[in-house]
Amino acid sequence: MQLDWTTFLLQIVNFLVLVWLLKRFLYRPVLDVIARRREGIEKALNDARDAEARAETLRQDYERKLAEQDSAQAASMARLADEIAAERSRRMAKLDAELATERERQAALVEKQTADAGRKAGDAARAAALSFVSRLLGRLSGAELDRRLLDMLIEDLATLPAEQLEALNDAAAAPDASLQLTTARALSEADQTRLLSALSNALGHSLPMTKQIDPSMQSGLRVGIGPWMLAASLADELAFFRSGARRAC
Amino acid sequence: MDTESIIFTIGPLAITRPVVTTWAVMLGLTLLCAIATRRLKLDPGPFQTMLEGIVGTIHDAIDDTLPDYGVRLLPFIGTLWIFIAIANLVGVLPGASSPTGDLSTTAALAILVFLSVHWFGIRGEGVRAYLSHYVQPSPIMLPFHIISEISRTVALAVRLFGNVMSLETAAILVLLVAGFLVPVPVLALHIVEALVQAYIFGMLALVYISGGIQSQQSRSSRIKAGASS
Repeated sequence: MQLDWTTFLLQIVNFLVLVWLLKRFLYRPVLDVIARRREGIEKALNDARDAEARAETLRQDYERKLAEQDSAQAASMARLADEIAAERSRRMAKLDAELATERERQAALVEKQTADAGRKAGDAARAAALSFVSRLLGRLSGAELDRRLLDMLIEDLATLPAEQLEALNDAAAAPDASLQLTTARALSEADQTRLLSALSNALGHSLPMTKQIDPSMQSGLRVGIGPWMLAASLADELAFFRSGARRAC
Repeated sequence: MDTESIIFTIGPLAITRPVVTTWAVMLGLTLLCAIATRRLKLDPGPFQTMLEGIVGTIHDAIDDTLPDYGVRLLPFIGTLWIFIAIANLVGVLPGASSPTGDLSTTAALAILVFLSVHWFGIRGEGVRAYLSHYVQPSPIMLPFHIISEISRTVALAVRLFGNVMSLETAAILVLLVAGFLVPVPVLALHIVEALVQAYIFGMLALVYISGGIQSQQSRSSRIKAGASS
């Protein structure tokens, strides 16, 4: 443990030199680079703050625009809803009118179809009735029915209206007037006599008579006097019934 | 003077082993720093990160004790820490001895600390204002202040010298009496002790300097407070 003044002084100088050297080669460069980095970080932070401020401004602008758009959209939606409601009301009214028209048309159609169906049913019923009556009377036709039809003709002839009787007399007064007798079957002599007697009474004089058999008449007779025809046959009656029934429909 | 430690002489100056070792340390540190800081980048590599970590830690330690004095005190305090740590660790190398195991070196460092306390104190408030704190709160305190300054400077020098010298002596003794790998724990203790002593010396220097600066600052604030009241 000894103090050497030379070493003491040299070490003081050495240390001061080392302080200068380290300041020159270590502290200053390192502090400079740290300062530059801090400056860069500060600059980056400032840039980031500026960017954040700009972003915030943009965000507020965006939110404002979004709010405006929302309000505009709400107004548009309300306007659209009003327009839709008005259009709906208009279309509903139009549809109601069309439905009423269609209902009326359908009712008319149904009525027409019902009438047609009724008419067809009537036709079918008449046809069935006519067919039934034709078959029934066809089976009932015979000499008895011929006689009865002859009786009916004689009775009708007696009760013939005056104007018809006059028309028959006019036809019978023609110079070539004759009687055309058509029967389903041959009449008996007695029946022919009764017929001729009744015609002579009605016409006031007798006429020559021609006879003809027509089985299609089924039963009864037909007497032609000029343009006139006195019919009391089953076929004529059925034909009269058919035409009468058709007219009634 | 121990004639065995003289390496060579330059005229009347006898260059001792601690001085040569100090030069070697200075040369190594300067070259290392010059190379390391030649191409510093803003995006640092691992070595630059370590370098910035050392300098930044020293700067922050100074700033924590004396806010706003980090840059001003960094060269002196930082060099104290770095130089004493490396100088202490040199003793671990075979055939080398720590410069800090020599009283002249530690005394030189302690004197520099003593002078730097006054230097920074006077730079802060001026000579008159600085010296006036020696007679505060009463002129009777002047001898005690002076004794305190001298004793703490001596303590600085002797503490570092004693610790390093005793460690080296212990290591040599263990090497002499023990086997091949036995001194390894002693050398590990040497490394720890070297770093601790460097930290203590630098920290005490920082505390003394901050005491010199802050005594002026507290006195100034008291004067300002009295004037305003």
